[in-house]
Amino acid sequence: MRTIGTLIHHELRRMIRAKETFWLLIFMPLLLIFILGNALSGFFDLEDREVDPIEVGLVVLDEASDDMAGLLRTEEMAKWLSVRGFPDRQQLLDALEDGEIEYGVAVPEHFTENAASGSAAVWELYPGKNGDHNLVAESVIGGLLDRINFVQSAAAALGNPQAAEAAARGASGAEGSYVNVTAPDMSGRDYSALEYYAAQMLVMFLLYSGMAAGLSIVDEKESRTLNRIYAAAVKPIQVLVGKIAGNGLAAFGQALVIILFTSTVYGVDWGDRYAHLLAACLLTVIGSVSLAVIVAAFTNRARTVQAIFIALTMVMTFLSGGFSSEIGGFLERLGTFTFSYWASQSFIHLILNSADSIVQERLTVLGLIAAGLFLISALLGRKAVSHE
Amino acid sequence: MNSWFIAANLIRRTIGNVKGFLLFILMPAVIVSTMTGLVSSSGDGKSAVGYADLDGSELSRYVLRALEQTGRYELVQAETDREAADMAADRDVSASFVIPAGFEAGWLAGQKPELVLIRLAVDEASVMLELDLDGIARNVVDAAAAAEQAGSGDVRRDALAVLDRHLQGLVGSVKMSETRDNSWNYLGIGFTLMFLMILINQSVSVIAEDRRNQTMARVYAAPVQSWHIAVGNFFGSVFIGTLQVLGISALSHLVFGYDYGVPVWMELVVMECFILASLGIASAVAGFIRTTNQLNIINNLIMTPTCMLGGCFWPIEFMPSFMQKLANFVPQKWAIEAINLGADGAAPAELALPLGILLLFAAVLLGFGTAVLRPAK
Amino acid sequence: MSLVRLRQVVKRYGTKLSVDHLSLTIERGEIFGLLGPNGAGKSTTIKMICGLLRSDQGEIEVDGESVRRHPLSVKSKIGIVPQEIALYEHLTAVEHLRFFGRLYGLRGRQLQERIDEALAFVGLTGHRNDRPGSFSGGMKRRLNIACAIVHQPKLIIMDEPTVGIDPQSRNHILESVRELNRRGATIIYTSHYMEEVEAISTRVGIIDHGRLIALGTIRELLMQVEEQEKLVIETEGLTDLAVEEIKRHASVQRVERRDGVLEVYLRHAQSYLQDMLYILAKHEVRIASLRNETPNLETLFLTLTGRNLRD
Repeated sequence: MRTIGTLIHHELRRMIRAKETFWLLIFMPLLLIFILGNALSGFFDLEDREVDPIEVGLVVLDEASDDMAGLLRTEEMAKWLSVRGFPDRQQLLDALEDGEIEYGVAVPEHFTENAASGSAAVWELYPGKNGDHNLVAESVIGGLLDRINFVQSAAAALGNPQAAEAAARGASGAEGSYVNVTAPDMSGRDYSALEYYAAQMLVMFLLYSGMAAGLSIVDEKESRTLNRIYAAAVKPIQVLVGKIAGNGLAAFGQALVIILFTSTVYGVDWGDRYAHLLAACLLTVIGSVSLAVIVAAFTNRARTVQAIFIALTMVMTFLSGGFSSEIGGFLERLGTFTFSYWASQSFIHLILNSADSIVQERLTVLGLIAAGLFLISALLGRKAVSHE
Repeated sequence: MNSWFIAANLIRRTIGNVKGFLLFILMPAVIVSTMTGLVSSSGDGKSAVGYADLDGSELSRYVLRALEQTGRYELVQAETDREAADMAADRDVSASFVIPAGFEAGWLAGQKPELVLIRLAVDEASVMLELDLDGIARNVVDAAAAAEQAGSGDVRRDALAVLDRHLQGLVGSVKMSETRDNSWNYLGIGFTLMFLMILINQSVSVIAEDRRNQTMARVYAAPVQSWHIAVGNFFGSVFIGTLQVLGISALSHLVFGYDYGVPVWMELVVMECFILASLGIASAVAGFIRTTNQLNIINNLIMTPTCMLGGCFWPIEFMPSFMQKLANFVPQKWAIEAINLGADGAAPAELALPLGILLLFAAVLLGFGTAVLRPAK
Repeated sequence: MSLVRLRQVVKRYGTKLSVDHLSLTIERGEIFGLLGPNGAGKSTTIKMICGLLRSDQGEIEVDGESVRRHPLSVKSKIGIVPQEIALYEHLTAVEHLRFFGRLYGLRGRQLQERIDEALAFVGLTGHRNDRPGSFSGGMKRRLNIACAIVHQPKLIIMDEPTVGIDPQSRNHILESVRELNRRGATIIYTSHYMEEVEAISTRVGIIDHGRLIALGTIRELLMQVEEQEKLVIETEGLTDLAVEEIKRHASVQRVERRDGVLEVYLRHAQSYLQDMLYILAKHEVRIASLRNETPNLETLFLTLTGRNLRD
């Protein structure tokens, strides 16, 4: 027992003495949470995004539609679109092909006539090569067409065009949003990107702590000090426990620092279910360190441990939505097979104040995976710390 | 020439055995190609969205029909708002919304209508939904206003008629062509770049270790000129990186039929330039760091944020402008830009700028780094 | 009772026999030198005595206890100075000793005293708070030794302790070995440097290909070859005929020729020296230098195996 105590003390001292430990395990996660939280929060809010106006080419083939098409050139539209006129379709398409414009719109012949008579009337859209710009252009133009459509519909249904237009201009503009956004806890509080990434980065860096454990084992093998320790009447299991407990404690400390820092400085609210929070931290640490032992069992070189762990961590974090919350359905499903997914989900739901059952469900899966990893590491443990 | 032997030795030590090959060539190839290949072939574009209609009125039915008509959503009904919220929490749906009780009544009474959107994370689908719902609500308000302005006797009936007519969507737009969706390009390239950096870091780590253990000095003591050693190490590293790129490329193209919309030679050129830049960074760092352990950690410390900043994991446009400016200092950004330019159909000459910048990185940093690639004096 | 007893110990690596039915005893209070070329099985044998490796067959006992059955008890009585310098970059000298001392079960006052003693013994008291990064090679070796003796073990095993260090440090180490022995420790000292082993051992075992080929005090061993002396003659104009005639001489056991240098193994060199010179003169071979080498362990090894120790 005392031997294990000595070994744990040895581990902790080693971690504290290594300067890079601080940078990698404390500074980095806080930095990345900051980057991610601020970087990605603004994207989807079109209003807040700063984009250069998209170069749009316009062909109006119906004289009666000139006014309507002119709506594209208003001041408000100018924020999103920079419109250039073309005399015919072909030149528009050529310009699009050459990259002179990024999007093309053609108002075809008889457009106004068709709209007024109540038959289908459409504008032709020619998307460019940049998916993102296409999205914005379509969104803006679509909005405009929808308005036109509305006015037409009102005019037709009520038989009173002026009323329609007057109403359209006045009523809904000034009111602000009609949609209240809330998180699943229905608290009315929206959930910020910073909080999302705090949870994700916490998990990713607990994985790095695991890597530190693996490196510690491998390092002792490489520098031959492991033999020294065995010569001093120490059993392999004691060495293993010492490494795991020592690094586990350090990882736990790291989790606490990150949680405290983000909650006081960044304002992330981790909730008040401390038992669950503790459990989530513990299970993540156990899983991470177990993974380290497994990797250390397969290689004796520090370089290899690093390479494997970094690749594993990056891929798992990515699949869990750790870098971008929107990664497509298939990848998301793949993510549910990863350890980091269940860990980060546990933390996220604690932040969201979700129902106990939801949190516990995630903790259970996390616990199962951690237990599985622990079991495997127990089987391979001897090999990991073997000295020959 | 001696440099060949040195290069060959380096290559053998990093990827010349089964483990090394598996770890650095095969595994990244499998991961990257699987991810990109499968991502690009998924989905019909519709997001699943949950909803709870607590009003059950004709107005709420309009809302649902209008939403369905956008073609973007697959609506999944929940009985209560709690159930809808849980669906969102469980990620069964991208987001949920609730039409509260008294929606139609409130509307007729002139109150501001309010819909509730429940979402787990800020992402494209939920923001789109927010915009769509807002637009629908706007129409609802305007319809009532128009009906009133027209001096209608039965505002409800007339407003609903307007909305109904609107739904017929007679004025609209049609897309004249389907574009190639390049939006996932960054993913495949991004991860390729990341694996490349990991690999180059490994290679430089081996070189630095040699320098520390003075096995390099032993080689140097043999009749080999020091610049031979530098050249040998240099080419060895480049070769390894190239092998990895080829592996990833081959697997993506041949097995999953996925490509970046760029001819293979162009892809290779861009990757080679990135390899050089990455080599520059790793060796410059190695020039300043003493222990190999520290070296590995520092290189990783550099890799993660630069990959993030450079747009490896999400498109650069996602970031606020000051960060986009910061990204200019990161080689990943330029590599991705070069590929995207190529995919957008730019002429090869246009790639000169991003490639030039990559080579500039390489030149400057390798200048520092040559201290590492040769034995310590 | 002997301190260490090995009986028919076998260790295999794959199909290769690294240690081949080795039997050996080491008595209390002696300095036992284990001599042999690289790859002979010295390190393997050592590791098995310490319990770091398991023997495939055979029995090893230390102080009456079986290594296989009571490994922890045995380990606590042994201190090993490994061949490689196994130190932690981030710990000071004192911290090293405290760490290993604790692992050996020392505590409190006793631990502190033993640490001070160990540091004093290896002459590193002045550097107790420094880290190995700032040490010279010799100093690192000394710390290496200190870590092995902090718990004052009965048996100290030193595995090639002087490889690659300067003569001054080496002498210091050899002196330390004698001193430790004087203070009551039994020492096993492995090396492939014959001169060291000859200088300090009370008894020597010579090992080759995992087998013990000679065992005894130095005196006893040299008696086996005392009859063998070696004349080393540097010549000019050496002819084959001259060499043939020398070979035919009754006292000559063996002749080795390397270019112009003649190595003649013969009995009672002094008596027959003149004969050799005469033969050479007869064939008009000029003599540049002449040396008479007395037999040593190297000679013994050569006789027993036909190879040089240093091969």
